[in-house]
Formats: sequence, structure tokens, C-alpha cells
Amino acid sequence: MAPAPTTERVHTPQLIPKMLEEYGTMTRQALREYLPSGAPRQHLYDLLSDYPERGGKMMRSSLCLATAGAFGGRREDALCSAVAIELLHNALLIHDDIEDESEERRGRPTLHLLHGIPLALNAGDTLSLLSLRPLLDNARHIGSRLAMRILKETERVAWESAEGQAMELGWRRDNCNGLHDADYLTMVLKKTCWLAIIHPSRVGALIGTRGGIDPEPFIRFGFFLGAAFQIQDDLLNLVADRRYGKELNGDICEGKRTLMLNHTYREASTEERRRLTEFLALSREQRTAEQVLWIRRLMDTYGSVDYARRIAHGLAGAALHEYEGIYGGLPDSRDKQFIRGMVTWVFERI
Amino acid sequence: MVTRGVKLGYKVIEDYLRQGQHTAAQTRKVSEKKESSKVGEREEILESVLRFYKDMTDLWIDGVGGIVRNPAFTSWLNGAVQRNGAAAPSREKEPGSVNGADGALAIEIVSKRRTQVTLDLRPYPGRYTPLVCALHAPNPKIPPLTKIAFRLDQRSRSPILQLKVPGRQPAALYTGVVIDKHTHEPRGTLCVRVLP
Repeated sequence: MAPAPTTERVHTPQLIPKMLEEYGTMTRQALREYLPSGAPRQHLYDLLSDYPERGGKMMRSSLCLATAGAFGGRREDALCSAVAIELLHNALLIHDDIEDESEERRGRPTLHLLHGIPLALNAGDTLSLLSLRPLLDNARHIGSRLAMRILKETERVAWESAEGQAMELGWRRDNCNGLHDADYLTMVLKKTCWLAIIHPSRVGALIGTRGGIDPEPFIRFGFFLGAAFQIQDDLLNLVADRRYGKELNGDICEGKRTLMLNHTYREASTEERRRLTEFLALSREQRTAEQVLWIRRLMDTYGSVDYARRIAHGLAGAALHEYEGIYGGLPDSRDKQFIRGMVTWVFERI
Repeated sequence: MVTRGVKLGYKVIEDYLRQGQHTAAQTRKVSEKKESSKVGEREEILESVLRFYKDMTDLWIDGVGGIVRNPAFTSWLNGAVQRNGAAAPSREKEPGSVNGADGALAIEIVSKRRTQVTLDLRPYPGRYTPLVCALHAPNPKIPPLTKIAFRLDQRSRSPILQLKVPGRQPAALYTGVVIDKHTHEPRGTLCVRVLP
């Protein structure tokens, strides 16, 4: 019996940053073709290109292109879908930043802080609509039947993302505390995993096989990889590094129910729980830097950071296991190596 | 902790997939109901189309006259009733009379394409059962039409010519001979024009 894959034995090859650069550039160039340039520039079209031009990782689009390639498809055939994924992702980021009252995105002030909430909201809506254009253009490249299938996939990811976001926002509004890890993982599955991993993989595989694949197994693979990715993202929020592009401890300040916060709450004493509940009931402006720091220290006291890191490693191991089931039988290729390498890359990225 | 994460992860994803399967099963039930009502609608549309063809055929028969009142055809009808072993009403046995639609021939065409049908039967004094084996286009590479049958509608006791034109049948004029099923003697012609 083959030993279970572990994250320790897998090292992210240099290939990952190279291919992210290569596929990211390809997608970004194609995406620019869809950004309108006429009036009203100042109040709309300049805002649309802001987040996409800030230089995100382009992980989602690259995964879509790589999956299409791994299954023997042409990357050009997956380009419209990759662009649509990035447009939708950026649209949701604008709305998320408003909903989370975030202050920084990719190292710069968030769009609503720069232009105000009404214009940022409108830009987010427009980017969402704009993501339909490449999906319609898909018909010319891959045929109307497959294009329609991908449109349906996109409709599904939009639903899943909205449900996940609603779960998280609801917990914060209703001040739900002491949540279980299963609650957190269910929310992450919907909010993060679908758009980050599951959807790009399913779309890429459908294009690569001309619709001849059951996309269901990608849910498991995408969930494990996406959840590991999100936990690592939450962990990065607790370390000081400007390259990360978000404010330090911003998640605590926003009252995000991360794995670490939920663990700390469960482990805390009655008095600490009372203080935590009080803090989480405040609005963002009412929360102080001292309170945030106190919670950060409490996380260290109860080993919540280490707890979350270990959970993330376990999930990454399960992702590798699921990877073998889907990609194991495919011929070796750069794309296949890229997808496998992403499992460890999520822990090495900044 | 790592093991706990993996176990928990599998529990979450399996629960999610199970829930998805349940939702899919429920959705399928609803869509099957919708589909069956759609089938009902389709059948209704098909029936109206058939009715239209029947009406057209009636008009055409009335206009041309004689074909369905052809004694040979009537005798086929009588013969068919008798051969089926049914107790034929006495008036059916009277020469020149038909029951049901008073001699109107119904033509049922199942075709997605526009189709014109012409049935031309010679006068014949005796009884016979009509049969058309196939209708051929002039080009031998074009497959013939073979789904053709004459039958008796059990409710109206009217003769029906049934014809199915496959969806991919090339546009052409298809012709064939109507023969006596038992003697194989020619009794007329059937022409079907499948329009582009």
C-alpha cells in the first residue's frame, strides 16, 4: 500500500511562480480587451481596471488554464473563461471590501476608501456584468453547447459564493461565537473554495475534455486545497509583512470568525469569553488597537495559531490524496506539475 | 491535530455532497414533473398538427372526390373489419358505404419537416388491403422512407395512413406503389414531398 502523501515530502517547484507569471500575463492581456475605455472614465471605467491592475496572483485564472492543458486542451480555448473568472473575482473583492470594511487591498487603499461606497458598489456590479462578455464569447471558441455549460458552472459558483459570504456576514451581524470548525469549513467551502479552486478546475477540465468529464471529484480536491489556502491566508493576516498587502491583524479588527478566533473563544476562560463577546459586538470604529492586540496574544496563549496551521497541513495532505485520484492517470506535463505544486505553494506564498 | 483536520474536512465535504445529491434528487423530481407536463404539451401540439393534416386531407378529398369513396377502398375497410373478426354493423357491409367519418381518410404525419402527401388509388371493384413497402427518391443514395402503414382507427372506424419522416431525411420527392397486401397487384401510388 502506498504511503499517504504528506506536505513535508512535496516541495513547491520554481515552476509555480513562473507559470503564474506566464498564465497571469496571458489572462491580464486578454482581460484588458474587455475593459471599456470611453466615458464615464472617472466615475466608472477607471475604477473597473483598478483592482485587476494592482497585480494579484492570478491563481484562479492560471489554475483554469493549467487544468485545461493538463487534460489535453488548448489554453487559448480556456482564455475567455479564465478572464471571466478574474473579472468575477475582482467584482466580488470590491463588494467584500465594502462588506468587511477593509482598508487595504493588494497594498493600496480599498476602492471604496478611494472613491466612496456608492461608486465602488457600482464598479463591482459592472465588473460582475462584464464577466458575462467573455463567457458569451466562449461560444465562438469552444462551441455554444460547452459555452452554455460553463455559463451554468458560473451561475453555480456565484450562488455558492453568495451563500458563503452570507454565512460569514450573518455570524458577524448576529455576534455568533464559539463556532465549530465544521461551521468554519462549510463557510470556507462556499465562500472561498468554489471560486478559488473548484470552479477554475471544473471549467478547465470541461474545456480540456470538450465536456467529457464528470466535474464532481473537483469539489473534494478544490475543497481541501481551497480550505488550506484560506486558513493560510488567515494566518498570514496575523504576521507583519507588507508584501501580503493587507493590514496586520485586519481580520481580528473586522471580527472575522477565523479558525484561530473560534478556537481561542472555545478555549478561553469565562471572563475572557465575556470580553471577547463584548469586543465582537462593537462596530469596527469602536474597536481599539489594544483590544486587537489582546486577542492576538490570547491566540498565542491558547495555541490557536499552531492549531490552525496543523489543520491546514492536514487539509493539504487530503488535497494531495484527491489530486492523485483526478490527475494521477494523466500524462506528465508542466500543467500537471503546476497543479500539484499549488498544494504546497499555498504555504510558501506571501 | 493533522488527523483531526483531515477527518473533519472529509466529514464537511461528504455532508456537503450528500446535501447536494439530495437537492439534485428533489430538483430532478420537480423538473421531471415539468418535463412530463411539457410532454403533454408536446402531445397536444402534435395532435393539433395531426388534426390540421386530417382537416386538410378531408378538404382535399372533398375537393378531388372519389378517392375515399372508391369502392375498392371501402371494401378494404369492410374487409379489414371482417378480417379483424369484429362483428361488423350491417350498414358496413353495404357496398359504397363507410362508417365513422363517412369515407374521410385521415393522414397522420410525424415529421419535423414540411411534408406534402398525395395518395392516388385506381378504381377497383374488389376488396383488398393496401400496403406500401417503401417510398424511394430518384437518387439511390438517399435512404427510402419505410415507416408507412395503413390501419383502421378502432374508435372512428376510419382508415388512416400513417407516415413518419425521420428528422434527417433529405429533401426530395419520394414515390412508391400502393399494392394489394395479398396479391401484390398495384392499386395506386403514394407520393411524399419532403421540403427543404
